[in-house]
Amino acid sequence: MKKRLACRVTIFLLLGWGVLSVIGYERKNDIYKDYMHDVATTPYFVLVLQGLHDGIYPWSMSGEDTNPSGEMPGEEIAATELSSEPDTEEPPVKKPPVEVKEEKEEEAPLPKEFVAVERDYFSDAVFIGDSRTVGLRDYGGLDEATFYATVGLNIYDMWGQKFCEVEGEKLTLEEALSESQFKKVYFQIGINEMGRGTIDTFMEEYRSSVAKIRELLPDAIIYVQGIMRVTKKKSERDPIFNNPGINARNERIAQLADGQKIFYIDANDALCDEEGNLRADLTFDDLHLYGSKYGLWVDFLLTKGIE
Amino acid sequence: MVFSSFEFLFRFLPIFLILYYTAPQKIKNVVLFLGSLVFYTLGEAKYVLLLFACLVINYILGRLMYRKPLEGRGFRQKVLLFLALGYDFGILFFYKYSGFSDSLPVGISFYTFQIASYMIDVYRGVIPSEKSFVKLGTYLTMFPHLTAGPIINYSEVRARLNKRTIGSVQLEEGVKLLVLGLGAKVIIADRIAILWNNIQTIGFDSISTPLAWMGVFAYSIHLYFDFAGYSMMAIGLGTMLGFDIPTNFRYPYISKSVSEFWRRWHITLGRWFREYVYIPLGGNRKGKGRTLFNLLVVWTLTALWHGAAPNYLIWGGALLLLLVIEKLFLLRWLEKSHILSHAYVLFVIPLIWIAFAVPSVQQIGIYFTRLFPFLQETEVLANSVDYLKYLTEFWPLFLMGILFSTPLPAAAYKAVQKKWVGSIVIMVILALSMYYLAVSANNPFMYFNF
Repeated sequence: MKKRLACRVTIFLLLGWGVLSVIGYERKNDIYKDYMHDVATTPYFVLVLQGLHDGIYPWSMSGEDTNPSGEMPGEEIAATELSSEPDTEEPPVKKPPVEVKEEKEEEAPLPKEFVAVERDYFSDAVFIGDSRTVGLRDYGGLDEATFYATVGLNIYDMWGQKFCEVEGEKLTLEEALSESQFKKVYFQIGINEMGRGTIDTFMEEYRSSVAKIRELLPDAIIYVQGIMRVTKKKSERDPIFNNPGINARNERIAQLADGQKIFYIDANDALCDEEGNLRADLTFDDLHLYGSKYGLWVDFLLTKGIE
Repeated sequence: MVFSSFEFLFRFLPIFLILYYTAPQKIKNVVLFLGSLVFYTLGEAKYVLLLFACLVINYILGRLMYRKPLEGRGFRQKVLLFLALGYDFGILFFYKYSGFSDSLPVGISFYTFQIASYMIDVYRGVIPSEKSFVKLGTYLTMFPHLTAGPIINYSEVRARLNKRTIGSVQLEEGVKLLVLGLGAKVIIADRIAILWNNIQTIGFDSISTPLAWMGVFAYSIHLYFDFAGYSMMAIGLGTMLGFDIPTNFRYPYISKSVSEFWRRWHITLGRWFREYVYIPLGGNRKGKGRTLFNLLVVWTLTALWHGAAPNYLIWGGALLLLLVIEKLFLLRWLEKSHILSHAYVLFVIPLIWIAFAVPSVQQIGIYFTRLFPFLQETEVLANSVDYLKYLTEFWPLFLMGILFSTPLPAAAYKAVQKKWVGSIVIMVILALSMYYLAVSANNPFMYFNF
């Protein structure tokens, strides 16, 4: 008895490893099916801990909505994967994203041209996006604009997350936009979710998000921005977060433009080298601009005004 | 394969421990030797032959060189020592400084210093040359300290190579130390590193002065908990295997002088330079001028040991300068003071770490203009409230970093370590470490936190 008690940390370690691994193993195709797992390097209990992080507990039921506020990526993935099935069967028809487009086909007005504008152009603009847009907020010097952006934002859970700060209160994007009078929406999203779903599931969500923004702000111009690329170094080494993947998404995003109320703009034109990779001198981590380089993005935006 | 990975902790280590514990006493060294070679191969297969060659060459030269202390040392001994050290440091130089190799063999700086200490000790007659190839191999390659130290002298493990006690007591003690080291690395070091990474992502020219100061302290905390945590894991692993691996860090941030700091930081490296460079050169026994010269040699080598880039020379130069000033007059005054001396250390050491952290000399300059904005004449476009965002996010880690840099938590733990409370503390650290490790393992956005 005495000897066993002398070893209690080791025993706790072995017990914890054993019990949690059994749980992880038993439910690996169930509640933990969305986690990548390599048995050769990683014990099964890691699944349980990763689930814990995302609000999926060993006693959670599969498919159970563990988080009504929708802040959990795990559950969201499951939902989008389900919705992706019909999409893959009938190939992505380029259906008009919003009603505006049909209007355009009837009257066929000329596409509007971009013009150079001054900074006050942004005073009725809202920027929506992930960490890149957060960087633009913090270092772009666009004090006149509004930013609804947060690190790690992705298309699958952007409507469920309360990340928009309005008068000191955190609101969902829907709540924040419905109380507003924005005339321009700058939207850039899409790098965080590259490891999730397919381009089709991504575009499905993207298209419906744009439609939803349109619904909330019927009069606003919506700029769908190309996803900022990564450096050559990153692109060549990363199986997921690479420029071919980004370009494939950007091509599809560009198709949403209608030349009247939805415009595709791509700051990569101002930030990338001739090979189309993010310039290495603009970034430390191959993904984000240095604070002092956001001016390049702002200057680019100033050439893309619509009157 | 780093210690703080699931692959090591839950794949390599348990399999190895089962083999090691069940192996008969006689072949435990063989199991450890082979296990360590496997460990090295799993991490970096292409350089395992280099490690093996180092072992074979030094084993043979050591055998050829040895004479009993009474027989004295002749010309042959000198030549053989020269050959051995020439080979060892030649290889280190080739891979680390010549620029001919684009990658550095894992652990080469550490194992080269260990084998050199062995050869010098044999030459000096401090220890007999090891007859058993397996024992020498076990000493040199033993996986707990192979890749990142501590740098162990052969005389410290010699007795244990012949006879050591291994049982549940050693296992439990080792597990506890391993968990404490893991916690230091995974709970504190790896997480506060995110702040430092964010600062680099923003770029030094765009950070506010308060954020620049947060950055130096974050880096200082990161470096200490990362390295000291890793050393503690090594000590824990050594304990499990029946070895006493020497302490590498003794609360360096509570020092009252830079001289004291360096006696408490990476102790086994400082010891190596003292025993094999400083004292042989005459130490401080040959007058002030010679002492200064000896210090200059030691610190140039210490800086170069850390790396070939110019920033390490700046780092070493700054430390040397302070050590000399302290030796000349400041030390007497510092030792009398109770508060100012600590403030001085906590001010200068983090500043000096900047040169350690930032490879580009120009960038070091920029960082200093952010720390001391009066150094810069032009107005800087920085986000002046950036620090608030990071302070709300990182203050618990700063608090933990400061608290655990003092001996207080360890003293509190010591009082309860035999009781259930002590065990529960370790279990909580273990659970938290596993959690953070799991969350970061599959998360490519560990640093994607802009």
